[in-house]
Amino acid sequence: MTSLTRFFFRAPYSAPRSREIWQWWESRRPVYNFAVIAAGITALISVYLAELLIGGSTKGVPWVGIVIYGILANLFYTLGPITDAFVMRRWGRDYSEVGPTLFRYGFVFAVGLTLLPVVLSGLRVILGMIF
Amino acid sequence: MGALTTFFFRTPHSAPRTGEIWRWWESRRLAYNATLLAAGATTVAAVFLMELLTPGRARFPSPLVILIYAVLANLFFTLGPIVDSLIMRIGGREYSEAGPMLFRYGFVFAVLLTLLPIPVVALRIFLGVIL
Repeated sequence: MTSLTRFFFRAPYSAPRSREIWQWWESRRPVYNFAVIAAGITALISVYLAELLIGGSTKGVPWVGIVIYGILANLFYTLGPITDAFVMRRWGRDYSEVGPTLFRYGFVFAVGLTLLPVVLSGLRVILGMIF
Repeated sequence: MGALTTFFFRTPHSAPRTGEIWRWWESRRLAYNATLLAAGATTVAAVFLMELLTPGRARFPSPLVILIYAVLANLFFTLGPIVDSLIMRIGGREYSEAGPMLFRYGFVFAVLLTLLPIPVVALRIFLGVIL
């Protein structure tokens, strides 16, 4: 099993207890935060560059927005182990894949959402060149 | 195989040609649009109802914004078969799961993005009440 598989999956048909579920999610929180921060920096740089390209006014780093975004990203992340523990307690090992699936989709959503300004600013630059 | 499995997955280790890949994606576009439309209607209704609770005028989003959002959602959907065809051409049947996986993550991402204003506006109203 590769480290990537270990990171994104759990042993099939396992029946972790609530405490193990929390440990599983919390051990992945730093990587999640790191990925979101890296995506955020990429987004900030691309928006800055796009503003330079279209000749708009470049603004400073929106620190308050970044802090609120970081808190929200972690709040939503915390919903993961809560839901996972609830599903496991309610339906048992037949549903053990639900938690890691939530984690994978949540991870991709958080990184994708953070990177969205890259695509939008790119689109803005292209449209600015055409029109 | 359930209808949901047929919709979200492709036969493992199949080697569809470019034409088949496009047909696979295009046969799912209508359901994708219907789901986004339902998610969008839910969001517009929920945000409108929540804004009724706060001082100020509750407004519906501009039809132009909705139209741009729908066009972008379909443009990004179209990237799916392009990337899928490219992967199949380069990687062959070993990578046949990449396309449906892109579809699943893209589908979930688009629906969650459309629903995102609901928790954001709810949080804004909640913070406005307690602060």
